[in-house]
Amino acid sequence: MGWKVFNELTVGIGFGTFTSLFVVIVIKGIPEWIAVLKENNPKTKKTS
Amino acid sequence: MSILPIDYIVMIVYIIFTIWLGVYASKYAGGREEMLVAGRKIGLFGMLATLIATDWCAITMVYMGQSGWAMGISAMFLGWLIFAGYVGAGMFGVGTVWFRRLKILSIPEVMEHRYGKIARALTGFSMVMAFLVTLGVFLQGVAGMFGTFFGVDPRLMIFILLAIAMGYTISGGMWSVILTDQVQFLILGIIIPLATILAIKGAGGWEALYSGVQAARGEVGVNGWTAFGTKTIIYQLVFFFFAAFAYPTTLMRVCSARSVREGYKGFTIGVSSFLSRAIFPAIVGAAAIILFPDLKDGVQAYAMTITKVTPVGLTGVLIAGFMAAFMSTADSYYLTTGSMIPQDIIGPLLPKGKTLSTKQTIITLRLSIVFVALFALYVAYFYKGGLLYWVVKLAEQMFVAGLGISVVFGLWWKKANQWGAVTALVFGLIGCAIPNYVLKMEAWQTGFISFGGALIGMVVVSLLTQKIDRPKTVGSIYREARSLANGMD
Repeated sequence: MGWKVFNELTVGIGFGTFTSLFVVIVIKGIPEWIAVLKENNPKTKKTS
Repeated sequence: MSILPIDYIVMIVYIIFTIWLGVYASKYAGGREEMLVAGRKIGLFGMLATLIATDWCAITMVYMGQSGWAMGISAMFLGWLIFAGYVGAGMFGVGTVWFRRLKILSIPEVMEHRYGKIARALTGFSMVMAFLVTLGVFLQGVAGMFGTFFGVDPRLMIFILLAIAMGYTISGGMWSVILTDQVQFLILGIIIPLATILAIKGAGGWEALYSGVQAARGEVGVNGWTAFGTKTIIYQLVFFFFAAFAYPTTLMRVCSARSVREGYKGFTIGVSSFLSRAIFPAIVGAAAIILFPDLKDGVQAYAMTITKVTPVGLTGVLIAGFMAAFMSTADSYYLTTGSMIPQDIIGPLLPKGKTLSTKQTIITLRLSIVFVALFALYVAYFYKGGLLYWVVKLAEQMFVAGLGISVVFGLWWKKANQWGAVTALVFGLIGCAIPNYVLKMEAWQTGFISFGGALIGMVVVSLLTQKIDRPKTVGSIYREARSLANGMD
């Protein structure tokens, strides 16, 4: 495998891993983050 | 370049929104834990977003863009070195688990748990020294980038950027940083890959970019091994392995996680983004070789390429995105560095039994952030270095060698003791500062001296002082730390 193929693979893997990560974080992270903010809102937070 | 009124509107809306977000988040910052680690309530995906947003900083775009301009497509190879070093460290996982389990508020605190107060204060000192340099260099590089965007004197940009970043860092603490990171992650996640695709297209496509870089830079431009050389490659692998046990911006995100498990998983998954964060800007920088054959200063390579290849109207979104990238990192560094001064340097040096109250900690923290910002301003104005990548990495080397080796030995070698760690920290700091700043040696030489000194110092001094400082086992450290942490709760 020459450096040209290696560099092309690097670009492909870079885009691939980031895109997957981005999609997963957006789909699962936004609802999770809204829940965290609601739970910890000082105005509505219950004190134990 | 031309910035249209619509671009200015996008930027102004974005800045107002960010300031509002900082003010909104400030109501969450009620105590030390809330201020420094967001109360340890961040879930796995929220943590991943903030981890990536912090590491995808504007300065990474600037220095990797500069590396891409200087070394062509070969600069992407650095991404593999960073990735391999982190994956090597992440495979053990123990570092992140240990840090999160100890419920620490700053990285040097781990050193106190394992080695004592002197080691903690020394760690805090070496980290603050390193970050004072890197923050100034960050400010200088990013101001150059925005100066290119707006056609404004970079010295004026330094003031503007510093004022924006400090505003909500001081008011909101880690909640502000993390909340802003979530929004910035969404913007950066689209903008940075898009800018890379536009740069490849602007250079005439991948084949034209590749052959153009090869023609301009020769074999060095496309062959990563030739560009860096075996010695530098080994040095960088070692550096990033130990950096995974020492980088506060990454590890404090782990400490903000809701649970040990989520912290560990977030760190392990998050390192996969380190490959792309090096690749994207390196490609944009390499495109500058084709687009601006007469360019003399690679610091401007990223900004100039972006402004040339971006379609009219999208510029405002791009600049707002990079503003986001800058703020996301700057706030995190100011907060982390500022928090070390009261927590890790002043705190351990106080008389026995005395501690700073919550109010004193927050006041000292805010004053420390102001001090850090002023020092960064000084460095940004007067510092002149070479390739920014090495300026940043060699500044970080001042603490990575001593701290990384102390953490790794502290986990797996029960004979590692306080005096070994103190020697490792001192040798790591001096072993980097003198070869780099005084003798102006090569990066790999500085790295080997610093790591070698720290390693020998740790082993030899620990073995020589076993009688005065008895060995501890990691198990006892866990139990001790847990009881301490529970007691503090």
